[in-house]
Amino acid sequence: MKVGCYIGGIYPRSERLIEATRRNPPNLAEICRRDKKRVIDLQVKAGLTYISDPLLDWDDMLRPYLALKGVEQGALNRIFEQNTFYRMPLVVERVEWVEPITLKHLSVDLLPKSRDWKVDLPDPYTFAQLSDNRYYKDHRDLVLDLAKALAKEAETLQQRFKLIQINAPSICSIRSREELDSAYEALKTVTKGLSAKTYLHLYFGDPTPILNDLLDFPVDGLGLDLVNTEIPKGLRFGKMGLAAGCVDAGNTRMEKPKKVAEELKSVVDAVEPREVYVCPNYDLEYVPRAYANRKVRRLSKIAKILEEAM
Amino acid sequence: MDKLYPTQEIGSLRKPEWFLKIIRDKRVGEGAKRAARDDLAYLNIRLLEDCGLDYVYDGEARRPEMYEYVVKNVGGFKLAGWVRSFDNRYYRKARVVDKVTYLGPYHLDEFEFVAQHARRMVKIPVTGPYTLADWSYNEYYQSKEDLVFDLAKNVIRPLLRDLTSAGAKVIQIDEPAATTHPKEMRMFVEAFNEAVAGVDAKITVHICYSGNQYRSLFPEALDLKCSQFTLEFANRDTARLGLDKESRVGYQALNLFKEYGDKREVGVGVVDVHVDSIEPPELIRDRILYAAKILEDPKRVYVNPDCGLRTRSRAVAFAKLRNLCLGAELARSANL
Repeated sequence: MKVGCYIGGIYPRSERLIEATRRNPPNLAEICRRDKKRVIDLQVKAGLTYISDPLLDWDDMLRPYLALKGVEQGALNRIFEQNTFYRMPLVVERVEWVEPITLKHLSVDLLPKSRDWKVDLPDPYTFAQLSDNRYYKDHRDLVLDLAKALAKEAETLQQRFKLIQINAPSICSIRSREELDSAYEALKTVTKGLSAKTYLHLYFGDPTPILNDLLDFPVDGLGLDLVNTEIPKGLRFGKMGLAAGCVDAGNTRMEKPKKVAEELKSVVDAVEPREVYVCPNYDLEYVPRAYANRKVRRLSKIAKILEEAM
Repeated sequence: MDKLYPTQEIGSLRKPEWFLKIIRDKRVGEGAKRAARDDLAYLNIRLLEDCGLDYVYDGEARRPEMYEYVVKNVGGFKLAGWVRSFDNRYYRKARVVDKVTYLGPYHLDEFEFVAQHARRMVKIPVTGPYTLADWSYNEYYQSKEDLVFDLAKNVIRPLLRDLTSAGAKVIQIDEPAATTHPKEMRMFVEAFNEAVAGVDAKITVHICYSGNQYRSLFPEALDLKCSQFTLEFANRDTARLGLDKESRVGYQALNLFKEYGDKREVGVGVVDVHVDSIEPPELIRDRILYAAKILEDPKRVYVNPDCGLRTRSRAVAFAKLRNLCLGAELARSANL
């Protein structure tokens, strides 16, 4: 079995970029691009399967999408159980897509032409859960309108990006059939007809009680936080791929590649996914830059050891 | 305090450029830096008093930040690097690489300076054990619980005792991480109680930016050994005047105190520390009166910003604090 690896979400800014952003010099955009280039080069050098924009200029994963019609910037709120905060999207009228958003916030020209690219997109159900809805009477209507808007975004991305990572932390805590159906319908709208591979990433919660249902979701693979959760025994992934979040983005302690690869092999042997990617359990922005860099290098080492063992 | 709606700050104020230039300049000697810190602390005390606040401190003039200052002065921590708080606001996060140890009363100098110069009541902010643990990467202890309790018993408790021996009468334990992990609420409460055990002072707790509007605080917080909860509300509120539920949507978490029969004081956040717009006194008045209505006793209401004002310019911070005091005056008049 071929084993790949990639990173997702927001990467930590360098101290230089943090300081420059504070000072806001006229060449800030250029400083940011140089910093992005370093992270992209790191991914290439480390041998990641898919290369992504590290989103160093994103303040949080939903911020660019405040540009959707009907959405404004709301209060500061905690990102799940992290000590990092995001601006809640404040939904004040019907949500509609007007023009491409994600592409406008990426430095596509910095990505290497010789490699495959990946991109992040929020899951509509999660987007709705993390919003302050002051317009829709029925929450499900908000989820579905967001799905339509994000489907337009996905359409604009699929030609350039081979993999779309759909970030869905809120799905982890779904425990009712109705909510699960709502999340499923929304995802179906987003992924319908896409040529790009789609992986649904689940973190900041425990999706294992609903994992059996998630295996039928309309995506090519599931990204799971294997640092904090354990896949229940007896589950088979079958046609579904696995993005194994086995490098801890929540701690500076460095993983031992051989040990992690061994543990991962037993997981892969048990769940038999169609394919495997080695990943951090979530965005590496929760550790300082130097530690994130070291963890990226470990990803490909783990993937290599695992591939040899398979 | 007998006065209705006593006003207080939470802690930090932005450090002026002139001060940072001196502190960061490697050519400047330690004596001159100490003098600059004294100057800023003195200036902050006077400015806070001029705003009309009843409880003051020094704007945390000597602390680079509420977490970093502590981990630099407690054994067992090693700074790792910058991690985002929000937007481009970052804090330096530390790794716990050894047993945490109390190296001495790291807030004593600043407290003695404030006590000497303040004309109003002094309330000292102290970062709590749970937050210190939660904001650190634990690479040493078997469990987070071991780390939290070691900090509570062997670092924070001796510090609080040293501060009360020096005359501290009101201590605000800052625990912004308290509601981060609802399943750890019992750990937070027990560690807090360990930290304040035998401490002879009025203990308040400051918690902010709870992801679930403080719902996870209760019922465990009923056991918290403090006499006041100082919380953030304005951040979620509307700017409309009024005492109706819709206008005061940001203050609904106060109902939890009623729901759980908690009769303690609440320090009510009435100005948002993350926006530059200056809340008018009339809006602040309405927020105070609404809080008093829900808590069913105006004597339980203290008035403060949502959090420390270090993210705002000093001009904005002082304008907000001035209006906060004017709003409290209006609320007092309304209660007559």
